[in-house]
Amino acid sequence: MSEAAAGRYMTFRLSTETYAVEILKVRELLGLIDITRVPGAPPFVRGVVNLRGKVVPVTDLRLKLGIADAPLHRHTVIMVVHGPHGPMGLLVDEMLDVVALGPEQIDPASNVTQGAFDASLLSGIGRHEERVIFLLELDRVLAASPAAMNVGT
Amino acid sequence: MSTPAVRDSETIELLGDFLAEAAEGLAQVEELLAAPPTPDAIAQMFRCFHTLKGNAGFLEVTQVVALAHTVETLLVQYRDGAKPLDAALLFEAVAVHHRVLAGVKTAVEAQAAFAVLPEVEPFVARLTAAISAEAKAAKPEQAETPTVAMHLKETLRVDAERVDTLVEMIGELLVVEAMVADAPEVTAITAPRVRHNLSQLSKISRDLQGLAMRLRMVPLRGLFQKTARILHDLSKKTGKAVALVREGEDVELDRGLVDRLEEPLVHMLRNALDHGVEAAPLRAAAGKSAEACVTLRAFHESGRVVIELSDDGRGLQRETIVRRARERNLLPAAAEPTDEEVWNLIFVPGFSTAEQVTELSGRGVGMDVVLRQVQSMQGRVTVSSQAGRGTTVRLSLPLTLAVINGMLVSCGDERYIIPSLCIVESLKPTAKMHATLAQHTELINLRGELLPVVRLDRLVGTEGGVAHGELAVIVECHGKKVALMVNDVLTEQQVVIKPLSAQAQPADFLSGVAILSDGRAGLILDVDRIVGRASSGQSAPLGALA
Repeated sequence: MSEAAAGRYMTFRLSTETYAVEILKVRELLGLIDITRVPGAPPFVRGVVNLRGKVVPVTDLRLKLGIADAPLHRHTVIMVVHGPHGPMGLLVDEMLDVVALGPEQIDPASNVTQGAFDASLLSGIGRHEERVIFLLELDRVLAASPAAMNVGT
Repeated sequence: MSTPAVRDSETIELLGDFLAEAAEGLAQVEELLAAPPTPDAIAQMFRCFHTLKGNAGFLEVTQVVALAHTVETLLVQYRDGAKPLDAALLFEAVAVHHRVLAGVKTAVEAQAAFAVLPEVEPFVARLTAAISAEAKAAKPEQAETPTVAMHLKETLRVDAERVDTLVEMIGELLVVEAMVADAPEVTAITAPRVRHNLSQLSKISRDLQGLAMRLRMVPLRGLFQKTARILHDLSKKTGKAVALVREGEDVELDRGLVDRLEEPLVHMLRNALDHGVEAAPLRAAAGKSAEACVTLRAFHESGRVVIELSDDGRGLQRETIVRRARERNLLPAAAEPTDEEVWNLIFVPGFSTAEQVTELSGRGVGMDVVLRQVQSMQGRVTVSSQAGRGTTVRLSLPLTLAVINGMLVSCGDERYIIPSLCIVESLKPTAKMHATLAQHTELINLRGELLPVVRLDRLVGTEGGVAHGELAVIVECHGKKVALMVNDVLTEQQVVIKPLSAQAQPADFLSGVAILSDGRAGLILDVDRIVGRASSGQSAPLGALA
């Protein structure tokens, strides 16, 4: 597991929790556009979208992390990130802000996590103005299968 | 050997242009050589070599200057009718040019001085000998071949990255155009002038999209020309006379795919010549013409591009293959395999390279290489063979990035694309046409022909939605038909097939995805697979897939 580096993070909401990825990993944000469902795909793959001529798969980050499914709503956003195999869309509940975290504001994930959640999916846990921000190890999250992620559900 | 050479960026750019232009010129010559020589064609070839010589002189690529100059002199003689055109010699000249130019490219990339290719000097000497040889008083038989006006396409070289960017931007334009045109504020406008201009705008955008999508596509002609050259070489090496028939050179495929087809084609050609085509005495004994015929065909089928290489040789030696397979325990001793099963054995790695089989059974070196390469392009390879009549190897390639006409059909709230080429007809089936077997396997009686039924909603897993109208789209592949039940047939549109990301883990009956004219992504059905599964008696599991 790599340690989270101090720097700028894009924060977003999943259910009631706040998560973040390194700002450099984010390519762009799309409002909720029409997603074409792909038959045969696992449930966490919502489908594919047309990103200016490129067809990009969209993963529902809630389902991927084992958070209960919820209907899409007006804040739902597709966050396009640089995945290992090209752009990937991630469905998140709401975009929040960009925060800068210093090294003193980041705890190693291994100190905190317990239970079923796979700590290696987090690069660290940030604290920013009373908020707890889970910093995602993006490549590992994208590669992981949801079954391995949350044994509890 | 490689003395370092300093070239400024301008020279390097010029050299790059020179190499690309030279390759085009040589390709033109090859194309011209494929047809019976006309004075026009000879003049055109002359111009190609002349340009090449001029450019090479300017850039001080001396070996090319000497070569091209000698070929020019020879062409002047042909043009004046001093002697008949020796196509084989010219093909060879083109090949030597290609090798010299490859050396130039290497030298430029390594920043070294141009190496001197040893084969050039003797070849120039041979050309000179041909030039000074007594003219055999042979006037070209002009009366025989009416002058066909050669039409050579003009081309422009563009950085591939720019093309990709252009294609992407046009995609963006289309989405925005649709958003503007469909905005409630805009749709409320009824002024005829605005309506007219809007429809013009959307038409132009669509045309632009169609055009942009074709930019990356190249015709198979270049590949076929290369094939002709390789076959010519092989024919000389094996001493077997072969004529190549080329069909469908205008079929277009994505450039990336075309490049990767060369290696499998070379293997296939080698097999055809080494093992398929018999030696002259055997051909004579079998009552075949002394000159063998190899046919290279390309065509569209069921939304895929098919490339077929057939020879009129002796065909695969079934007995030998079966015996060999039994020896290697690839076949149970008692099994009576079908032809198809036998032919598939030649794809087993190492199978055909075993000593005797290559000689006796024919066919073989590297068919596993062909299979692997084609499969890596999501293609399929099939072989058919008739004893004494010849063998056909068939590559079926997906149209990744290729443009096809697709029929948009609806299924519940979703839409799918069926390649138009696979569609025979669509109709509203009457109750009388329906039949069910054991309550689940459905059939449709189409004018006396019983077709398996595949329900799209069951296939894609939207079953049980709102009941809409029902239409049967009759699709066909490899001569087998299936009735695909959909809710409605919407429109036909030209779409560009893009690969469906493996990350989405799509079902296997989807062959790709395309951007629809409203900017949404639409999935393309793999009719080949749907038909294959339904007609091999798996229609029930297929229907029950969801």
